[in-house]
Amino acid sequence: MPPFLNGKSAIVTGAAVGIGNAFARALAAEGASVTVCDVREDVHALETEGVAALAFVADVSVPADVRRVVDGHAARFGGLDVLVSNAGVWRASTATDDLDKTLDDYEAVVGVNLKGVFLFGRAAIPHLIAGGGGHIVNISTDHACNCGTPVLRPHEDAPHCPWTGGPPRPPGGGPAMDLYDAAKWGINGLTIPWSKALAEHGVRVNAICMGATDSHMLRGFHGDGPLPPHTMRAEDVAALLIALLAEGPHGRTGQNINAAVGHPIELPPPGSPYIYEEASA
Amino acid sequence: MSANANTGFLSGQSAIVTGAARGLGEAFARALAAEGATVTLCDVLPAVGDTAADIRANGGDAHALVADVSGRAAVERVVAAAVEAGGGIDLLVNNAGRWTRSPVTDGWEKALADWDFIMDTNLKGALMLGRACVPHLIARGGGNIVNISTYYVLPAKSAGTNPPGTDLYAASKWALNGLTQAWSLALAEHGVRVNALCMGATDAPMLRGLYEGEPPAGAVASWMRPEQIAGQLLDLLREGPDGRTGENIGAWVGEPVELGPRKPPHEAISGARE
Repeated sequence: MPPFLNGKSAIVTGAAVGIGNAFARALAAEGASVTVCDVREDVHALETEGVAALAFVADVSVPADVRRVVDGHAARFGGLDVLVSNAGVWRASTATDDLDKTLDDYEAVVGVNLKGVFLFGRAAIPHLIAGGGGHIVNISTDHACNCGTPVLRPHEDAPHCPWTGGPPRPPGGGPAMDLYDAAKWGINGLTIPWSKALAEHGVRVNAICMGATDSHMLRGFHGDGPLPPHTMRAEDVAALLIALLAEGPHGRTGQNINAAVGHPIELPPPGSPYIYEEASA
Repeated sequence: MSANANTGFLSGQSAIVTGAARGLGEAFARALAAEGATVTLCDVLPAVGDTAADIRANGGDAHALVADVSGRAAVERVVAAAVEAGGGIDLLVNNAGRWTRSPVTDGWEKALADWDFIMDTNLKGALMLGRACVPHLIARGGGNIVNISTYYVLPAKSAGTNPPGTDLYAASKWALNGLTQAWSLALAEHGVRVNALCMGATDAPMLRGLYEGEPPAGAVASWMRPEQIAGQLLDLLREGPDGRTGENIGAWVGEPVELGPRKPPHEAISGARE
């Protein structure tokens, strides 16, 4: 199959290392012209390497930085076809923290993980509409899904996860992730209304909600220690992104694609009862 | 309403209700006061003073502050006032919320302004109130936080949730899931329960504000009443210290407004399809 993104252009945020880096490589391998950004200056290595055509040092929570990336990309490539809002940060935050720490955490975690997704989406949407269609893929977490479902509800028909054999795993990241989880749950409020508003323009909007993946963020938790068993590879999550885009203009939209640890990393079959959908009227 | 400070099941308890001048918040404050709670009401609307005065005229114990929960100083002022009035804090009802249409085709400057308008109150305000109240709730040996959300966060049960033009409002309410769930886990050992009420169309100023002029009588007749949701709040509190925690509790037009059975962990936040 020839590279299916030939002639298309894409932006990946948070691409210097980890999963974003794998997304950028996978998109470039499919022929897309890729712009990357990151707060890390070594994001420019992707330019040097020829993976990215453009690289920006930018903070996705800063509106002027977002405009610089999106406008710079559109000026260079005459539009935008794919936005992957991947940039994210993690900090421990919990109910008993004091207000000083909390407000600092709010700016960092909600600023990057939710406001950054909002700003990039809103900056990208006029270009996606003008181009007659395209994709927004927001990168979330399995904290916003139940085990076994790509969605917002549990295994309905089975008391046990068909893949792990265990009981359905509740969503959420635990007591020290209130702001991280708030930001990631908040992405649902962008993905779903955007998918509805943009359907008539041929723009699909989905989220990928992966579990523990070998990434800069995950290695940050574990230091030099071993990664948890069954940690996914960033390349496999990137392959899921490519499969989602390859569905084309009539593919699924408004959905959380869950890549739960221990499950096959693949798109749920079309029509799967586990795919997020609003109840019908 | 006749307050019953001596025999109500919330007698001796101190509660904060944000956004309490009117609508749902007013109904929450009245219901809590009628069960004997000392209620501290706040709102950006000066009418919150009249609401509190009316509760007092009916025998309740209510105190009002004009305060915008998007600001840290205001949040600290509200919490200090509640501690002063009630000797501590047993209940926080994070009700204050803002709504505005935010279509994806809006210009950049409006998008930036809408982010601040919605998020600073609906998410950051609820976050700050929670943080400021937690030490007081722990000091009392337990209590409740109730976040006021929307049925948008339980989409698998009903159609019409998360419509176009609501991205920031929806995001702010979805984000409350993270607070409700993580707080319920972090505070369980302290006897503090944390839940959210997620109601569909309810006859309150926020919903009426979506209509130009008077909403159609047929629509209004179908809506839930704020008093029904306040009854749900009281039922939630009546469960006592061993009651549910970490749950999104739905309320739907055309169905009885009730707590329903306690949900298993994997359905507590996400809900289930029906």
